[in-house]
Amino acid sequence: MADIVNAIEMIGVKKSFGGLHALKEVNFVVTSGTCHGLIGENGAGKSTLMKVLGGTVHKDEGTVIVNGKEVNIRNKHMSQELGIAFVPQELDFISNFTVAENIYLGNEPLNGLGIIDKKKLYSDTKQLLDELRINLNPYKRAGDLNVSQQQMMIIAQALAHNANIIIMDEPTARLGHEEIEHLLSYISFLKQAGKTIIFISHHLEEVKRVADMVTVMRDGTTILTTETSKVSVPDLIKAMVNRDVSGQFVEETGHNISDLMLSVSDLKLTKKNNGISFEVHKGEIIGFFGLVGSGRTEMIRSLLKIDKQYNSKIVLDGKTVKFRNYKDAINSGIVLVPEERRKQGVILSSSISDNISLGQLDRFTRYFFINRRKEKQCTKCSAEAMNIICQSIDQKVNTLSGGNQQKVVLAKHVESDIKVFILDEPTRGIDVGAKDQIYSVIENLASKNIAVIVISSEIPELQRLCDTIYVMRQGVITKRFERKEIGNSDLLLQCALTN
Amino acid sequence: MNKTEQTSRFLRRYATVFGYIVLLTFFSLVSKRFLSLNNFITILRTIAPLAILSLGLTFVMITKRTDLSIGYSTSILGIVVGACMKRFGFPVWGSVIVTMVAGATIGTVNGFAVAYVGIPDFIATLGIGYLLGGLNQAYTKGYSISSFPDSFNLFGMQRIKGVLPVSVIILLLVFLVFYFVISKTRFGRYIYSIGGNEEATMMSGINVKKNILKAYIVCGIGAGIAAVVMTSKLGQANPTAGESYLLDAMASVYLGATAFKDGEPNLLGTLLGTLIIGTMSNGLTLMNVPYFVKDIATGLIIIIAVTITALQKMRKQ
Repeated sequence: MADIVNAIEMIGVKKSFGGLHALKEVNFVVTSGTCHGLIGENGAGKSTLMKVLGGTVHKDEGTVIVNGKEVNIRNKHMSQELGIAFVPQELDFISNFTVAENIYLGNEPLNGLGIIDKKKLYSDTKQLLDELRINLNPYKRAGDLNVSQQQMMIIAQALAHNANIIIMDEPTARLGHEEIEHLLSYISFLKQAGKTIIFISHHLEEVKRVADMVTVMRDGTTILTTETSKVSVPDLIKAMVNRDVSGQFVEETGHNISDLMLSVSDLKLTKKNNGISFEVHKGEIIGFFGLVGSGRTEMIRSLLKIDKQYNSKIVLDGKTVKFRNYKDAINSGIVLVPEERRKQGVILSSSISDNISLGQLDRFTRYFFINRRKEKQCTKCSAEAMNIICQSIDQKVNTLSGGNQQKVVLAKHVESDIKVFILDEPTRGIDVGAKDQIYSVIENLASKNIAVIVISSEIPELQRLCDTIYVMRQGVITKRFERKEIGNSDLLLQCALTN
Repeated sequence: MNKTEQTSRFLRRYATVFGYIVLLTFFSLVSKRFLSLNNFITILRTIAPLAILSLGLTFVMITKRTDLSIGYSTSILGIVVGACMKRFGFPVWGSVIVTMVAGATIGTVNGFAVAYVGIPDFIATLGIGYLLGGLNQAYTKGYSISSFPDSFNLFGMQRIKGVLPVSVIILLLVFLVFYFVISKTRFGRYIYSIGGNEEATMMSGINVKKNILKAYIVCGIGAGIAAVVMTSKLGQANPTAGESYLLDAMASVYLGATAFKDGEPNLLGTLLGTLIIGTMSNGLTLMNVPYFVKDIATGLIIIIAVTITALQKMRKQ
């Protein structure tokens, strides 16, 4: 068999839904045995394009060639037969099955009686994982693995099905630093093994590091395909958004900081942990940096009484407060924009307006009845203030892009009387252009004398926004960085990694 | 939104209504006695207890939970109203109020077990249902209570001006009150948001548990009213009278969820669901088919309606 040069060739592919052209004219060629980055703002058409390869979306026009053969991928099964595998952002697996059972799901080795041969199942898995140099225990329950291990399990599953083209959608979004390093080096290993990887990510530095070639999509077309080494990150951003993203590399912000707003002392995550103490002033933005599992989210949840709290002292705006529950915390003026937008932030099946007003219906209610007109006026204002892109505020939230959904979460709180605004990973999985808008919303909050707390795994994000950065590790604060020191990314990272 | 999308949305929301019209047309064609105002009022009168019960259950099912105790609660609440009048000598109005309070109490117990204790709704309400059934048998020994004061006939038997049954008016009043509660109050909004995304609702600072409890209380009050109408209609409090209502009520809410609101339970849909079930039963009786045909036909209709919805959802994705 002659060497096939291109694993995938998509030429002139078009797709429209109703009147909407999701893919206008796509030319996408991936060379065998390479890692190919695919970037673009949310809604640029990346997912649709990949769904064409997955068989869940059918192209209207154009040619798709996989491993040298022209194909018309009609369903998921056909896509698998062609050796295409997906590692989605939200991993699909059966959490109470073991690693081996998951990897061989639907493909279990059988004995003569047609019963699953458990011995062979586990020995095959062991052999496969060894070959793939994946360090996983085949007997472990999938639900007990961490996200990174689960991802490796899905990759192993794909390879067990003889996949040679692996599409990874935002694979690093939920990983910690060390785990990202591991994944990126594993991708190099896969390339050496002759596999082709399509790497979709918003993290352009990662794309630059791991991908040989990169394709930029915008408005349903492929704008640019080039060797990664020949293009800079700012150029990629420019190609993605077709405009200069002004704030992306701003170094100094300088907020107008006044009196102390919130001081927390001796907040313990577990009984034996050392207490956490920090303070934030009016108009100040402080950041919490740490790896996944460092206790940042847990600390905030405990502070707001969403989870258990051990004795701590909280002083808010000069008064000592004790929250009985989360509602109490909200009522005293502290709000949280949670980490998992779709799970905790929005109700996808409800309208934009209903989502925005949900937590503040008291304002529109008189004698038990909601004044819909007043409600609509207010939610419309909030939606406009947040610059939510929609046809109407009665549109359901599941029709919006990730960035716009996040703006809905922010809009829920803009009208209320807030003292402290806490944002947990405010820009995760959001494209560069929308990120910028969310940063300006955060800056705007601070300028209104609100104390802002940002939790993030992205150092540049914190450097851009914050006056002070606390680094957390294993449930405690390991270091506090002042404004003048926070430019030092390496030191920040070091503090998060080691004592 | 473009035209094809609009049409498909319209079809999705009103397909069940068209289905009902087809059903009405079919019965009108095959039975001469079907198409008359009198018969339609008979249908409404027959379904009144089931419809009231189903409207209450809708609140619980909007939160993505269920209440399997409603059949047994309706039975025991029928016994409560009967016993209050006959054995304790309460006046009719007093007995009705006691029954509604008892319904609310059953709802509170259910809601507390589900929302605060955290027992899965299926198991909690199933267990409480059995408990109520047992208590009911212990108290009545299986015998009915009958010969109530004449004024008790009002709820199930009497008609205003000899045409409009009081039970239908009660049904309409319950519908209107519930409708206002769901569409105009915070509670209504909260139960829909709990059904949509419980965690996000909690993170918006809403007391999720309290609102689930309230939904069960509404369901219990619905069972109380349904029990009064049912007992008055039957002229006796039978210890097992309400048991068949459980499946019919759940079917009504599920059928109703296929109409008007993209797969979410809603009051107007529930009313349509009970109408479909009542009309089927009435029409088939007029056709003189054997009794088991009703069950077969109802089963088919539920499966068809829910299948169409599932297919539409699949195509949408």
